[in-house]
This record gives sequence, structure tokens and C-alpha cells, in this order.
Amino acid sequence: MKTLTVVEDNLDNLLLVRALLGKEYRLLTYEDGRAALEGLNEERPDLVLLDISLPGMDGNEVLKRIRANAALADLPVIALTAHAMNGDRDRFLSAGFDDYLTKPIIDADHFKSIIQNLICKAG
Amino acid sequence: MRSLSGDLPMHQLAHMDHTALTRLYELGGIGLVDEILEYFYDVGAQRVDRVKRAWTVGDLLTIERETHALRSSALNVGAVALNDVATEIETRARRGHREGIPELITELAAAYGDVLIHLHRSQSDMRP
Repeated sequence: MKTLTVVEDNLDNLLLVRALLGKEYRLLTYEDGRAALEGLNEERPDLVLLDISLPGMDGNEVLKRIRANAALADLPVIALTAHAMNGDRDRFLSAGFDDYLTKPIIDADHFKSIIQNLICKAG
Repeated sequence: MRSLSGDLPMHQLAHMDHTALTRLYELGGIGLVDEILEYFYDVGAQRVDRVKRAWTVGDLLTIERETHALRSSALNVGAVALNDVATEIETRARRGHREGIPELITELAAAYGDVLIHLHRSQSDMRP
């Protein structure tokens, strides 16, 4: 079973992610960026779902640190954001994310297929 | 104009996305619906209170943070109008624009109260 790290500080969003993915993936969850980075250093997952708006260190900073770490630099990372504006996709890809998803996650199949595709691509 | 079915005015009923709870139910049954709603009832109320208190001390950062989180929870339960008000407050707080925020906070609290009525009713309707 593949492992996903989920970094999200709102419990209801974590509940939703768990309902969507918990049967197919092993989930490691963290509520803030620093704890997530420590966790990633201990165990590398197959993919990271990363909320952009986190307390303290935000998702963009967490991603920078992931990409700066040689052991994690090529880890697939998907941004989770409640913001949905024009140009967001390009912005997130330019920042180094592999894809992004807008909350609330309405299309479960689309959500799962993005994750599966990125994990397959990573090999 | 009042709705035929209950106490909420029609325009407020129209600002709920009625498919949100259905999606939750399809995903995880009444258990998931209950968990998400209990979180919303509990933490949502705390967030609205924190926004009010933050305004009294001019803390725009807390207002921005709490309304952002409230938006996410609101959309999970289909509270579109609540999301809209929270978004407006969040945007003004982020930009440092204080004008209009007190009135919007009053509207936020009212919208939250209306949503609670709707959600309790919907939750009850979903039980066998």
C-alpha cells in the first residue's frame, strides 16, 4: 500500500481526505509544516498533499524546504488550497508543486486520479 | 419571501449548496456527515467568536486566518453565503482595509446562525 503524507490543519478537511483515500492509501497526517518536515525526514512517503494556508510556516515554505532537501527533492507534492483564482495553476507549478487541488474536494475521482498518476510517474 | 418548508427566508435557503451533505453521505455515510457537522458546529462557533474578539483589538491577522479557515469548513457543508461573507472579510483583512469589517462581522455571525438552523434540519432529515 502506498503512503501519502497529508499536511492540513483543519480537522474536517483531514476527515474528508481520510474518507476519500484512507482505504487505498496509508496516511501520515500533520497539522503544521514543521512537524511535517520532521516526519518527512523520518519516513519518505510516495506523495505529499500540502495545504497552502498552514499556521506558522505556510505550504509554500514547506515546499521550498522539501525541494531543498536532496532526499526529498523529487517527491511529488500536490498543493491543497481554498483559493481558486486565474493563474493559480501556473503559479503553483512555477513554485515547484506537481499539481494543485481546490478545496472543497468535490470530484473524488479526479482527486484520486491525480494522485495515482503522480505516484506512477514518480516510479 | 419565506420558503414553504421552514423558517429560513428563501434567499438564504438558496445560498446553501444542498449537494454538499449528499456528497458527504455518499462518501462516508451518516457517520461522516455527523463528524463533519459536529466539527462545524463546535469549531465554527469558536472561529466566529475569535473573529469578533480579534476585531475589538484590531488584530487583522487573526481575522484573516480565522475567516480563511471558516471558508473551508463552510464549503464542506455547503454554506455558500457564509463562505462569501468570510471571503470578503478575509480579503479586506489581508489588504489592511478596515472599512466595512464590523458590519461584515455582524453579517458573518448572522449567516453562521442561519446555517446552523439549516444544517440541524438537514442532519435530522438524513436519518432513517
